[in-house]
Amino acid sequence: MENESSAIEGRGLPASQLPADARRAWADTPPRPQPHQVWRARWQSTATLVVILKADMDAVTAAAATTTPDLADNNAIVVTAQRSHLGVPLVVWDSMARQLPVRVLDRCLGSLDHAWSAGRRPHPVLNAADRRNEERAVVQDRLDDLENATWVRPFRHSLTQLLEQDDNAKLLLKLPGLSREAALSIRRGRRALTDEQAAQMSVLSSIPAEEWLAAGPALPDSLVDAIDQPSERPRITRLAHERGLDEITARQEIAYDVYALAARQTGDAAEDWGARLHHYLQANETTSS
Amino acid sequence: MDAFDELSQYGEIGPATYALLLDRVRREVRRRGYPTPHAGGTWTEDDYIETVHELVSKRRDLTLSLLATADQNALTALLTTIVRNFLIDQAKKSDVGKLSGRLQTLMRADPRFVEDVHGRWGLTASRRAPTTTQDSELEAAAWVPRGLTLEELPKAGPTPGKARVVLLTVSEAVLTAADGTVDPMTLARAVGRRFGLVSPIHSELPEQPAASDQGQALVEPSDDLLAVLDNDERTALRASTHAGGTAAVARALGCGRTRAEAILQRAIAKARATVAAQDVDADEVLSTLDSLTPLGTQPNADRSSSTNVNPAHATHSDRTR
Repeated sequence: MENESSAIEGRGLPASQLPADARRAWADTPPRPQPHQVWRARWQSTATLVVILKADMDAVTAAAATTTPDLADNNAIVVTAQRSHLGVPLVVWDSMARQLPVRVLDRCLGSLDHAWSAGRRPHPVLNAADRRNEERAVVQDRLDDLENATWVRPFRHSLTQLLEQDDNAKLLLKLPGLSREAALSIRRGRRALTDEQAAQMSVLSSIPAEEWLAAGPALPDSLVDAIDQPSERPRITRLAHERGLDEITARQEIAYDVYALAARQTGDAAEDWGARLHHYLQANETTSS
Repeated sequence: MDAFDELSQYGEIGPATYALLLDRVRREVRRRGYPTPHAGGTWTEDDYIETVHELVSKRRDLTLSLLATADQNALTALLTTIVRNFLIDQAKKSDVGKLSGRLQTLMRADPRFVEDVHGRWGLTASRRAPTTTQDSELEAAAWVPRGLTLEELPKAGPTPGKARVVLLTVSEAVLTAADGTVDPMTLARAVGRRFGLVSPIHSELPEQPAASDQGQALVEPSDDLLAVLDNDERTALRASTHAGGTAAVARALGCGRTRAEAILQRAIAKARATVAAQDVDADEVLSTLDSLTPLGTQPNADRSSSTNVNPAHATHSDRTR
């Protein structure tokens, strides 16, 4: 395959179509989200470019961006190549902007000229046969998906309380492959059960798997915020890849690892979750490389 | 490292992406038998590489489009669509030119139309400045006149009377929407798209994975409605007649609900313009579609049963978006 591509490149193809600044921004550690930046937003099987309009710690207000000016309508602004810094025109669907969690921000391509909103606004769609309807619909569907992106499991009740009933806690020791350390973390309310563990507990107890899965320790908000920061995402996705996990499962695993580790080291003292996460990812990166 | 990882890591097309692009060109050529870049003989390695070269050189937005995909599957699906659109466009280049020449001959003999000194066309009663209307709007305007079908045009020689009326009616609708002058190739593309004579506007919407690598088809669309509806539009119409509403259409298409609704509405609008009835609903369109569908072809049963494998006759039907 590489020989084939070398043969193609040997014919004088441009090495890259993106300006050097955009390529550098893309390959760097993702920055803190700021207005006017262009990002790839990605969650599971949904992805789109977005332009950030307003940035907070845990969420951004963002407009989707596409690359086909001829399929833009009056919900969007066509930003010229000169103002986009990306070498091609960009369509920014500003009137369909949404609040998106920062966890969907994946890679940054740099920033638009701050005057990008002075671009041309195309005509409205007046006819159902107009293909621009479909383009706008796709943008809306993608934003719907991204707006609801989450990895934090919703719990209805406390796992600790459920384990206290009928000596259920002792059953943890019968779970195959679960270390004493992990069992202790679950018992202490620092870990939730995985799908597999919940299924095993349902066999051993009189409680259905759904109930076990609906029980757990809620993670501290600041730990969730730390994991959601785009600057950590490249390392999280790399770790997920190495462990053969999807990104959602990897985030859950990392979160409970960090949460449990903190309890063993410092009890319930106040935590700097950002620093703890950083150390955890660094340690695991070192271990695996 | 696969192409998605390569793009995610470096932000540019590298060896893995080039290799995938070359692979898509080879597959597409094998499946559909496009003419070589030099319009003769069989495809050689040089031809495949030259096609990749042409595509990357002409699509300056290619990298950015590929960067906006979610994973390797989505990237592959998008590249498949881009390659297919490109090959069809290459094969259809001369068709747009021929239609443009025919339209200009017809318009020169009709006082409703006027040509300016730059060779652009407008309506006699309209302003003479170049239009600011987008190609997609011009295409949509071509669907406004209802009840028009186009008989097969002769390869050479004068345009038959009925076809002349149809082509000029649609041209007038397009130029009305333009509210200014339009170059003849753009006009030909807008008019030709209505009748499946030229390929639709490029989009970054990837082909749905279910349709990407499946079997080939089998039908030469000979009827007006079949020729103007693409696979997605037919799938949407059929799914809409079953219980479940938009959700069922979205499931059948493998896309989001808003997009499914947009495709369905477009299909109904195109069908209305083609079958002439004023208040056509999806059921009526479907029954018309069924009556037109040749035996043995079930476009809804499997999205792979796309029509029209011969690029020489490529229409909307083989342009899954």
